[in-house]
Amino acid sequence: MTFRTYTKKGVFFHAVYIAILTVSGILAVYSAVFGALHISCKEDKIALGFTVFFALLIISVDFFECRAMGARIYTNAEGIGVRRFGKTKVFIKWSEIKEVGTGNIPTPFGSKQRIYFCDRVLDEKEKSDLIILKYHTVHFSYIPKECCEKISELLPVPMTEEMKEKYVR
Amino acid sequence: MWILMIAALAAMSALTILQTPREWFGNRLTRVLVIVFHTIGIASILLILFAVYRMKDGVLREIIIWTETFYFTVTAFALLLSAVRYFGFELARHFKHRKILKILSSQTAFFLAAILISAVYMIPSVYNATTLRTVTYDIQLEKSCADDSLSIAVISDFHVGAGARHSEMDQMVQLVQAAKPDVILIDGDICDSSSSVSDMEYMEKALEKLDCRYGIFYAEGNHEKECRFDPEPYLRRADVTILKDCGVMLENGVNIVGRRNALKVGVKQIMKDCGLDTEAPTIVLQHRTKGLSRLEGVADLAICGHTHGYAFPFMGLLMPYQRDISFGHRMYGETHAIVSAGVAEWGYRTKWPSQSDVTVINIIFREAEQ
Repeated sequence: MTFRTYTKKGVFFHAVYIAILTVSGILAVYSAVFGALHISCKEDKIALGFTVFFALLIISVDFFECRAMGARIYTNAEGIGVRRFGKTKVFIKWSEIKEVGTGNIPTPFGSKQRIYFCDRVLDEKEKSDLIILKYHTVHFSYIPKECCEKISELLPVPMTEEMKEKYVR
Repeated sequence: MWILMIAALAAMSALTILQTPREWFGNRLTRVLVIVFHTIGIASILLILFAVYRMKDGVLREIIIWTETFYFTVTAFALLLSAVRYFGFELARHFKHRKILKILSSQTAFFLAAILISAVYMIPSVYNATTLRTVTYDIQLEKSCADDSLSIAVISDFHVGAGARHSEMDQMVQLVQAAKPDVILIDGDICDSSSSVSDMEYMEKALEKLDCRYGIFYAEGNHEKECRFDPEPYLRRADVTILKDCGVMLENGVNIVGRRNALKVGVKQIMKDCGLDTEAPTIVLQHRTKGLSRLEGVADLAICGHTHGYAFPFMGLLMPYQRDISFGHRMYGETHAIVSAGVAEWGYRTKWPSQSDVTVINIIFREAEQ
């Protein structure tokens, strides 16, 4: 079974964000091409360098955001993970899960809360930065209602009511 | 216009305040410092917009202008860096690059970096804004006139007051005198809302010192309408010919056409109205760089200001949408277009990668040469 990694509201805002990035990226590339075709002095070259830098930055972020839209929560009788375009990227077996908890991933303007499944018990410091954990951890912004019951049955450790209230949508 | 400007400045300040590390508001000392920094910065901007024109030259006026310059630079860099940080963060997150993520997630490090980069940026950019250089272009025209050559000095965008101080006006006079031009062209934006009576008088005296064979000609810019004091009487007293959608033929047979800032009337129409010879070499003086490609075949040389060159490193992003050319020399068919970086900046005193300049154009008339 696969589910969206974003809620409906999340998909909408993400799509708007991608649209803004795409338009900005196209305009920045146009500026860079225009600038490259109209070099007449040293100042043009310096300004072009900054324009190219910005254009590449915007395009690469747009690419990663589009890629992130393709990610889906993937769960079956063996475990839970993330699939992108049909390929499993992260997967943890139910039997390996030692902790279900809530932590944070850093964002440019603070942090976002996540529910995670981990093959060991994390300390408080590790919970504040789930993104860079190198061992077997999967984290989600929400758990889909449709599969919550089944996940609860298969999990070797319980998901608290508080977690369910906050993360099951 | 005023509402838009104030809204833009308010947005810049608000976004910078949002970027301020939250923990800084928890500590009494840093909280007071942040409030004082923004209060003084915003006050300096408002003073420049609404009060500096009433002030006499002196330390207080200089402090206000330099404070505004620093505040403007820090807020602009904070905004630009926040965009870079945001994009960099997204990249680091996808690549799971621990070190970069750690650096970028620290708001304190980011904010201190914005201040440090602004301070470092200000070293060359203040020098570029306040130290004038002469930029020389040698061009050939396929037409002839009574002279074999013509030397033109172009000065534009003084923004006398918050832009060009009296020292920059003196440098401008020195550089123009050293170039010994045949004709001097002033390409608009000589004053703005910050210009005081004493600034206007100083500009008049500076222009009076300029001397050349065929005279001084002026075309208006977009900031003249904001000036508290009408610049035209000052220009007339300095013996400057004002060209508002009209043209004159110099004694050597070269046409000088000056366009209003709106660029509504075409050059052909102006030449027809003024009875100018369309076969003679024609120099068009217009403030903005808009519509230069349309001058192809109409003018031999178009001279512009307005852009201040690349006053900020990220101006290249706007290049295709606002301007045909930001700085330097470009050809539109047989028509030469030259854009000056201006004598000063508008409201603040930083400029990079461009440098404030006096543009000197040496024209050789090819038919005369043969």
